[in-house]
Amino acid sequence: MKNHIVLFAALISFGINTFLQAQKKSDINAVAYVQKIVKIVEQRNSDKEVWAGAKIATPLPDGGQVKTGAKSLAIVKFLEGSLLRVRENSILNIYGKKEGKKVISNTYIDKGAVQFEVQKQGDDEFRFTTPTAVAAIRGTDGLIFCDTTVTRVYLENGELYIESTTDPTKNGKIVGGEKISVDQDGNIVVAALTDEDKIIIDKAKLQTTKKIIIKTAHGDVEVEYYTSDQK
Amino acid sequence: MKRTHFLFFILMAILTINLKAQAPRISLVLLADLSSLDLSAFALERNLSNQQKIFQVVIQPEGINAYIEGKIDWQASINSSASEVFRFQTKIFKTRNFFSDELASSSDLLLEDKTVDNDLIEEIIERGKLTGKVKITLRLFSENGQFLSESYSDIVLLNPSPTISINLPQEDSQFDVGNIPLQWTPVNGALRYLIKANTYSEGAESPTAALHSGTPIINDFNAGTLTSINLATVTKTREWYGGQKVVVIVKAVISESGREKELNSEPVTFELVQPGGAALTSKTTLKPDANMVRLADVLQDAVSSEFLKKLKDGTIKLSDVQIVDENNQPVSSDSFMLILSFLEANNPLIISKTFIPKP
Repeated sequence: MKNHIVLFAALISFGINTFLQAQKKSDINAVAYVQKIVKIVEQRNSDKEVWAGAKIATPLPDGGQVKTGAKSLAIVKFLEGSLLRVRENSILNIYGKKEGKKVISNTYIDKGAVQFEVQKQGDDEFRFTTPTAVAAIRGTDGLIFCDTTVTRVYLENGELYIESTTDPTKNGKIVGGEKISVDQDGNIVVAALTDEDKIIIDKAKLQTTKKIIIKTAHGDVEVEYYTSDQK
Repeated sequence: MKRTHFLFFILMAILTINLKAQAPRISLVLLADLSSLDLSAFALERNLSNQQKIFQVVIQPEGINAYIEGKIDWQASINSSASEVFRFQTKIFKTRNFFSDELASSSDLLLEDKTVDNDLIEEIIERGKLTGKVKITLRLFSENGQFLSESYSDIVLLNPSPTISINLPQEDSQFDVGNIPLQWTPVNGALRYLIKANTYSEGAESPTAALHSGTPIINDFNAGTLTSINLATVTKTREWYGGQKVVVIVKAVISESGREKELNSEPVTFELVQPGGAALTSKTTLKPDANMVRLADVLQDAVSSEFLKKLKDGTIKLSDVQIVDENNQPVSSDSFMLILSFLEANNPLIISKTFIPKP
């Protein structure tokens, strides 16, 4: 009996130890974290087939993916400080690697919209890859949205270099206050941000949610909505 | 010798940490929800004692000679370029925590310099409600002009809200001459509301022209700060009768640093019927609540058609419902109106609408 207890205790200890080791390894490899979740946000690592509900502070390793549902929002913060607001119906793939002292953070956006605030830190570089374009940015903020046919970037501040994935000889550069689109044929169009574009950017930054519940004798109604943020 | 070096190093380290800890830092804490702000609060330069507290300035440590440069920028429609509404610099003062209404009024927080764009302030006040983007920036300097710290608050106010509008009567509705409910949306900071109404002959003159012809039947009746009133009980210059068409407007009087300004609602027309009249019985048995009708429009794809009907036909009235927020805290009617306006103007920002019917 005593031997069984000792064996059982040893197994438990081994199990806990293995779990902690795995957890530690996962944290060490984290490139970014899920900082905020609104409504439906799922996450999976590169070695997983199945999507699982994301939780706040979930570490996202190299190759991790985040998917948002309708009216949903995921805020992803990179270890170097850059922040992405992944808006509804989007899929974001996260990659990160070190080249010497330089950290290269890359994201692949299958579809959807991502508002970004990318920190400028030394030689570090941040890239967005979409089905039609690759954008390299340093210390800037704006909004990128894409589907399989076109990528659009609205840039509020800083600079952005972008090239077509189908024909890298086709490329362009924009500065704050401009927007650029790259379609599947590599056609690039640059224009100034319009008033409507700026409103779209501002709305993409909203992350505070509120609820109002109207209680009546015939039923209750609950409305949840995004509202202005106050820093 | 080694020990002396070690002690010197420790002392230098303590001194460095201490100096760093003493460098004053400023932080700005927004107190008011700017979407519900009395806009005259932005007229900081006029040194009014009844200014609202817009923000608190926290400076630590206290008691160090310093001065503040501050500015407020405003983007009218979010998209236009930002314009500077107000810039100021205080005289040198001993650092301490204070509220925005102490600026230029407390003896130790007097202004050294200020620049005001009065045209912009006029424009903000004429809008009746703050919309667009507001940025408040404060920078702290040492008495020698050395930059110490900065804090700012960047607030996006997306709801292009109406200024003032009449909820009841609804356009072309009919009312008993003895019971005419008039209800309107509140305007934050309104000193009082004035009501003007007059009869008019359809086809002969426009409702707006009728309001300004002769002496209106209700001529700028002062409703105080109420947002609803029974028009039948209001003092009139002459009587009105069943069968007459009436046009009414509500004016919100707001203050702009001692000067008063009026914001007008759009005119609403309705018809009077004699008590017990045929038209009365057919049209006033159900009196829709305008705000519940607006709510129904916001909820239309999320609730049952039966519930929608009750919202629209007057079965459910604003006065009968209980409204709470996510923390189960009561929401006032005024706040509900603002939220309703926001939801109407920003439907894509609604995350979810859930309906739980009651048996």
